[in-house]
Amino acid sequence: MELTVNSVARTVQSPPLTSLLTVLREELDITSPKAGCESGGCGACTVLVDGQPRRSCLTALCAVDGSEVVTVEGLGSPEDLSRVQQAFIHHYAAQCGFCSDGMVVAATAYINAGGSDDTGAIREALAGHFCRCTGYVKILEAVAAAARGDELDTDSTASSANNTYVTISAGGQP
Amino acid sequence: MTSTAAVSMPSSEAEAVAAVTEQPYATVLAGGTLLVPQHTLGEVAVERAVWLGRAEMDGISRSNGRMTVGAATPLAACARLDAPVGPCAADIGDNEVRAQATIGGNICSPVPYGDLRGPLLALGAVLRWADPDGTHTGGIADFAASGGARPGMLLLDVAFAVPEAGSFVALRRHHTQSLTAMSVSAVRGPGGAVTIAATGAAPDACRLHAAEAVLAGGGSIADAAAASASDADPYDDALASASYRSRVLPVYVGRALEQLGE
Repeated sequence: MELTVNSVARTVQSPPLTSLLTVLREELDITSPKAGCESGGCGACTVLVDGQPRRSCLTALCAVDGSEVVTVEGLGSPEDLSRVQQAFIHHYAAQCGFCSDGMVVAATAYINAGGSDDTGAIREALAGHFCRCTGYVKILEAVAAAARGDELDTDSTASSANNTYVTISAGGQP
Repeated sequence: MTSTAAVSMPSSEAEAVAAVTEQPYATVLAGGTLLVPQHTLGEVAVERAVWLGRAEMDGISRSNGRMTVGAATPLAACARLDAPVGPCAADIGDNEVRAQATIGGNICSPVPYGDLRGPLLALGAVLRWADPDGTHTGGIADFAASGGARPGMLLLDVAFAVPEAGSFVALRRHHTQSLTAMSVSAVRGPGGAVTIAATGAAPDACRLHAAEAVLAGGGSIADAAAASASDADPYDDALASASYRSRVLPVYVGRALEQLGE
């Protein structure tokens, strides 16, 4: 089977019924899609397939032969983060980070499709994505900011909680 | 666990029928939203599979007052149909799951999946399926009586008369991935008669004939709702108790009929 993964053409050897998640993680060593529930219920494994968000745990390899697959690594680089990635940093939208890759990918698809900063629409777009830390407020703020095209500063965050942490760390205070 | 099952990719309905009905029987892979995770977790053994993604078995057409939906049509497309099918399809999973899961897969899935069997039962939908004996047509009950989802069978499409009005109500849960414990679909047909079906009121989707008869006799929504219990066979499972199902059913029948404008 032939795939283009994050702009790189790949020939994969896994059997055709193998899930795309397994192919990405175990054959191609791309571990940003997380094996959460592995039954389509959590969204941690979402990737873009030909621009559309798809649960890689529900997708058989044979169904994506010839497709373009993008994981969160393909959205930006540490030196050149995507707008959604910048917004997640600025709004402190990651806690443990397990759901973040799927959230960022799904949010990117939502914004690429013309999604607005309407909270209801964002909730619908991300409805199948679980944040086990329950950090939904920050995630919604980040996606709305990215949808609006807010100016973002990734050297600091918009979170008072995180600013407190930065202050404490910098000052060596408890 | 992943098997090395071979997968054929037919490019037409005829090729798909040939591939599914030849022995040894193959496993049908449509959207994959149930099969792929079961296969990954080693819960099903697959020796040979037939993937329908290129078989051109998707699409919705309307002709002479009838809607025909190909079995491989994604639920996302079904969600754009009028009630009761549209809102039922929109209630399944989330947008990513609906983009992939198909109406045929849903019809063929066991309880607690198979939500669309309720609306399709209310609509008197006609299924078309193929097996080694040829091509068959029949209602949801006929399909079940023929053995339903089974090796060597391929569901081809589902058709129904476009109703004058339809409604759908479901027991809501907080998260999109929660299964629907109960739903009620109501349809007013071209002749004005009302048909009602429920999921979660009995071990599989069921028509609520007694409630329909009350309405046909000029009875009230409240009387029809009260009569619905006679067609129910409530059961306990992880989603709801039989007692709860018994209490909820008349409430939801009433809401569905009010939504229908009875």
